[in-house]
Amino acid sequence: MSDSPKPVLEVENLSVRFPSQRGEVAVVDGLSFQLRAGESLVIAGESGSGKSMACRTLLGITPDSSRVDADRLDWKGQGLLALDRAGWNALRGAEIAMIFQDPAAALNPLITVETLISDAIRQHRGGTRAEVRARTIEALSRAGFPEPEFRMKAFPGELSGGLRQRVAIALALSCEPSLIIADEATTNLDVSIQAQIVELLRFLQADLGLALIFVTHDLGLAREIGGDLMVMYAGQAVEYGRVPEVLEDPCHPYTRGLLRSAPTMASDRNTPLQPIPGTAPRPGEAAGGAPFRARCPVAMERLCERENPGWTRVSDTHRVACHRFAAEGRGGVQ
Amino acid sequence: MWSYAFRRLLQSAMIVLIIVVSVFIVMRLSAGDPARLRAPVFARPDVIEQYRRDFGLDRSLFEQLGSFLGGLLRGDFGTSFRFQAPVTDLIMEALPRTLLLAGCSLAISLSVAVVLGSLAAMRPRSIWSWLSGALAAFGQSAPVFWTGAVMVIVFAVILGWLPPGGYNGASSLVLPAIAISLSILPTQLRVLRAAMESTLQEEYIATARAFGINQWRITFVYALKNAILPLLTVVGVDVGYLLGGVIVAEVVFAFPGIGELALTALKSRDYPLIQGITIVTASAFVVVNLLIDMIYFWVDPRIRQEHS
Repeated sequence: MSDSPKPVLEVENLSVRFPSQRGEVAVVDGLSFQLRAGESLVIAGESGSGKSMACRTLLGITPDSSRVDADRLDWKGQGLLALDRAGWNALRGAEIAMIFQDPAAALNPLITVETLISDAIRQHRGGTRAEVRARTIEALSRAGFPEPEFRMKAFPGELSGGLRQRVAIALALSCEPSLIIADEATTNLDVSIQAQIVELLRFLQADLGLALIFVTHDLGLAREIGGDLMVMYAGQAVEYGRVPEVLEDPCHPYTRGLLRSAPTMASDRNTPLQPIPGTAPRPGEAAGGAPFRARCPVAMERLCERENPGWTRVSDTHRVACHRFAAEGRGGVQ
Repeated sequence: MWSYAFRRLLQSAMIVLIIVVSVFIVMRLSAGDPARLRAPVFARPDVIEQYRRDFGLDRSLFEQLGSFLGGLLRGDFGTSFRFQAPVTDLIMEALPRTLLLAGCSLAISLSVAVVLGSLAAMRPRSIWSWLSGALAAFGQSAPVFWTGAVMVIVFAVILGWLPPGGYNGASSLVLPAIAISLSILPTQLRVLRAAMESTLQEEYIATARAFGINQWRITFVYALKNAILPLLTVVGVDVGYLLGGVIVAEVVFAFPGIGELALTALKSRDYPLIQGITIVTASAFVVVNLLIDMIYFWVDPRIRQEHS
């Protein structure tokens, strides 16, 4: 669908900053990406890399203390930063919907599944009681929730983790949005349920022509989803390309580290996994240089300390932000 | 759930029995002689003795307790020393008034606590937040006898809008109900506001916002369902305080309720009346708290699950 004329989502130079004792720190720093209808984007990175916060800006639900800036944050040509509360409420849920990370925390324990989903439908689509009920059942069965007519009176606490995740997906589908953001939507599930949920998301995406943003720390899942892959570190994008390109030919030392630290079906059982040494920087710590420099095996002493690397082109669709790669090419980051 | 309710009801009956027996004994051990208080001031010793016999106080403590408990089983609370009338009649006359007053006070303070507390949590730097803090501080520091007296002076004496006291229809409920609700409001307001503030930080509230749910519905339905649970516990305690007859308030407003009746009974060492009032208020207190536990059952599916 890359021939569709204009992207539905255009993000340029997006930042989210929080006040702190050391002045303002950026949790999301200069992100740019685009998404066309029916396409998917995988955002990968460690916990605390700013993935979730970046997604929350697309729904206007960043914390009150935060400051969101962007040269451009457009949904179907409409600037999101200028929206007031009513504007946001008309958009979120209806056009852009999110599947939250932890369904145990993201579903209100005192609201039944039916009320939760019907409320969203009533808010955006309206209709008679019977229509709303029919739509609720439809959304639930599409998400693979068994026997919705009977079980939708349940409270979230009465459901298993996998079923709760299906409720969260049904909620996201309920108002037929054009973009679904799945924020670590499979992280808390065991592997077989995880596979089912990924399968379901891919099916729905193809079936309904949804755009999908899939946030994960598991690069293996990126392969399942396909589309574009953005690797984030400390609030910044460090590598961006088509999923197979990035996974077959990782050009950033961090992407390489991530791939080496996770087991795959093909990996040799006798070679130990290699974790990335050190810990992710706290917000603001990595400012003013290459964000990964402190843990990077090939960091360039002066350059990486002082200057944030700009993008280096790898191919038409693949780019990387690394001084070493810019200077020495693939050989330098091996 | 019903077996749980039944078990709790049995426990409650035991608690009430223990309270009643304790009150029975403590009253008789403490100073003051009902016969001497009832008899004319310079009565001869044999007249006082006659009163004592009439009240049944010449018998041993065990005999008295036995006949009192026996009467209870037949639903007979005894005869008041002071009023020479059945205790049941006296209580049944005063109790409905106190229930009405307590109900009004609770309704006022709960509505203010829920609405103002929620608004204050929703808009932390607004006038609502300031107002809620000010009202809580005021209610906490101003005792009922003072607010009551000031209100009588302003609204009854100076403005003449409302009666200063007594019991004459709805208008005589207004001042005492407001004075009492002011005294129970601070705890309710603080508890609800704190619960609401933490609830609004929950991820499921972010979910509701992310799906474009109207902010009022989010606060007053999605969040309130969760935030109101701690308030229920506070209400249980408040109800005990209210039914114990808000003695001070009833005296300030000359309101002929249980509190005023209890005070009269205490002053004249009217054992049967004191015992009767204690039974009624103690039972009401445990029953209300039982009801509140049942409400928890009803509103919170997590508790339902635990006990099923």
